[in-house]
Amino acid sequence: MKIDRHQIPIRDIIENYRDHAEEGVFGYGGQLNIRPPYQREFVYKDKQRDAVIDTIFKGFPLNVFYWVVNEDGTYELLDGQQRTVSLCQYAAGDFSVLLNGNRKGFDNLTTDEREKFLDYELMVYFCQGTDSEKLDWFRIINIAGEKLTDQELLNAVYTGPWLTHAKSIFSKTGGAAYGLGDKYLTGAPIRQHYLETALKWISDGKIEHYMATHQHDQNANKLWTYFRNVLNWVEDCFVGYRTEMKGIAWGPLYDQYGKDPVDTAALETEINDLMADDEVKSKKGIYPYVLTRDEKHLSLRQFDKAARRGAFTRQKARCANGKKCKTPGNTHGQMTFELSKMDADHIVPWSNGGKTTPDNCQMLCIACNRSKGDL
Amino acid sequence: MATARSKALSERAGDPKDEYYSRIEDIEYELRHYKPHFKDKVVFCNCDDPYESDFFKYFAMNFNALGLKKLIATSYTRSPIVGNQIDLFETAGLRDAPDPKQPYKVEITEVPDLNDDGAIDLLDVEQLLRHDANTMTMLEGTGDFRSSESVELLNESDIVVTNPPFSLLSEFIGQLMEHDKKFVIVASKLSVTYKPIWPFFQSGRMWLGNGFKNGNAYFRVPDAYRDRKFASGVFDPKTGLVKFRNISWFTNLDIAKRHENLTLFKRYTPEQYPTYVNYPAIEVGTVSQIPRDYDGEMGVSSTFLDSHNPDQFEIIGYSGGLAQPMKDIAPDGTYTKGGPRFYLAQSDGTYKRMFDRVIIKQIGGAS
Repeated sequence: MKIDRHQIPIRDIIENYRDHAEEGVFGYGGQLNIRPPYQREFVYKDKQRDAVIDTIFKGFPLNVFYWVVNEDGTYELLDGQQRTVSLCQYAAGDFSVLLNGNRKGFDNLTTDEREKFLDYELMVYFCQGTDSEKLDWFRIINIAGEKLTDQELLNAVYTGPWLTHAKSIFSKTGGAAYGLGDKYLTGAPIRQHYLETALKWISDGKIEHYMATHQHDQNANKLWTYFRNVLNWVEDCFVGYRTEMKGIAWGPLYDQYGKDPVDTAALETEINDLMADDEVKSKKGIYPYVLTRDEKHLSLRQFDKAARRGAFTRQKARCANGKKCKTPGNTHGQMTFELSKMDADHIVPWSNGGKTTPDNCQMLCIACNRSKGDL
Repeated sequence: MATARSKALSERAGDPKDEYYSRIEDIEYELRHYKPHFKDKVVFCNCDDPYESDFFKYFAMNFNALGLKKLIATSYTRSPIVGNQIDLFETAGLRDAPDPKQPYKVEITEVPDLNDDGAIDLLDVEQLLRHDANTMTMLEGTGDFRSSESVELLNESDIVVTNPPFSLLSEFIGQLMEHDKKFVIVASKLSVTYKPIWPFFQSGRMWLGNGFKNGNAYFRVPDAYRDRKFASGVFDPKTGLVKFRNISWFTNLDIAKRHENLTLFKRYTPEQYPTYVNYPAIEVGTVSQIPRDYDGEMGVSSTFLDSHNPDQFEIIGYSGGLAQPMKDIAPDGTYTKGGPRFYLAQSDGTYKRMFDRVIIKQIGGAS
């Protein structure tokens, strides 16, 4: 990783400055990508923007800027976007500020004032390295200032047309991914949570690898189509919407069950019953459960202390499996255990309608409980 | 939803004296998207009080940067803020005016560095008004935009930029269209579907500008209005500003926003997008719900105009002009009456009256 310090006058920064919402914002003779299209766009407050200009006129130092050197020799602005946009916009005559009580746009400055502004030097760190080096370094400098999310850091490294297109869909509040998925996804598009979720699903959790592989694709249609398919499948499968559907890892479920025929009416009835079942503590888990049939998603109710102790006393500290007990040496079932060395178990399992009531509780030794599946 | 704010707006309808002044920040925020349009053009800020108006200020400050050919501004009778910032009797053109509140016009064709401080700024404009008798002249009439004097100035100009009195908006826009002028004006979004205004939106002769920052339109009000009763949350006595949510810019100058495509993602199903009973189009409602795979006509709320790209969607019309009368379709008592609107059949045999809808159609078929 190579990091060099440069002093760059505003004059050079604003050269060929252009701002096209669709194509992004560029400066430094077109070499600096100030804001890739659809990058997180904080609306910079007028006050903050004016303060940047004021700082420059007073000749006070601005905080450092970080630029990433791309493979082709162009630059990506990593830190200092709002400040850079502010000074470029001012030089372009987009807004005016009060100078000594006088409202002045760039064109209303005296030659001296204008030169002073243009000669002001920004302190810029150029950083150059492999993708993983950059990522490591970004994570370190990310401690200060406006903290970037993990996905934002990845976005700073894997730039290109693929990312631009992906962001146009996934990273806008009120954008397409939000419109399609806001009932099913948590987080904020603008903080890249939607993009992160979509990538996590399509890449099986290997986001960085996926981004590196697709960085130079011309568009992100594959990701968008996949995301649409996932959510369309969810809409089709589960006819009634419930807020519990928000935040579920739908991608992996779609991957595994998306091609299976589904009796939507039966599914809806079952979900309804499970929602009303007091034994089911994780209502969110109902959705993965009805597809996977794995009870662990449901966080079924556990027996309380009194029920456990009651069964323990009834069993006289012996394992409920009696002669079938799996603990070595307990073939007669007469071995006694400490309460803390035993697990509570449903006599009639939940799946057969058994409830978590004291009369349905039995205590098993750890060996028996672990091998329950074999019984 | 009749919000407190829309009520505040309607309260002042029909009160042409009621004035709301745009702030330079908001003018800059919008006009930065139009800069190339102004080169070598005559800009007319009417309905404004030249020196007090931030529109005049913006163009005077940026006269050279924009490359304007000429800037014209007019005031009008009884404007409550005339003369607040510079004493009109001090200006060369008005020194002999009998009445300081008499309306006047300002015409500027160049802004040189009059005070010789090396900068060309508002101080020079002030100097110009003070010393050059040609820049400021009395009007004979009231300064009303409909007066023959004003029309003459309008004819001379290329682009009109102002915040016209909202109560006279239809007439104001009608005049601009009749004289085939370019314009960027502040206007209430509620007026989009006014009868005299809607056809211009429909036929693509006018569209919405970029809009205020975060959708919040702030205006200064004259001191005299501070005692007025504003709906709660509208007037902030600390800043002296009123805030409205339903104000935007109307324009017929091309802007980048007008060429951005909406990314569509919804799928059409007859259940989710029922067809109106009194017009053959489906009910979509909000813009984000527009199905990507539907070829026919669709009804959306007028907020659609904020993201309309004429290469993506064709505007067919407006419920006010398209809806078939319900009396021809359904028996009395099964629907709520009112002006022409679209209705949806309900399972109990009654009909649901929809909000106003714009009818659109994808160009070149569904994606």
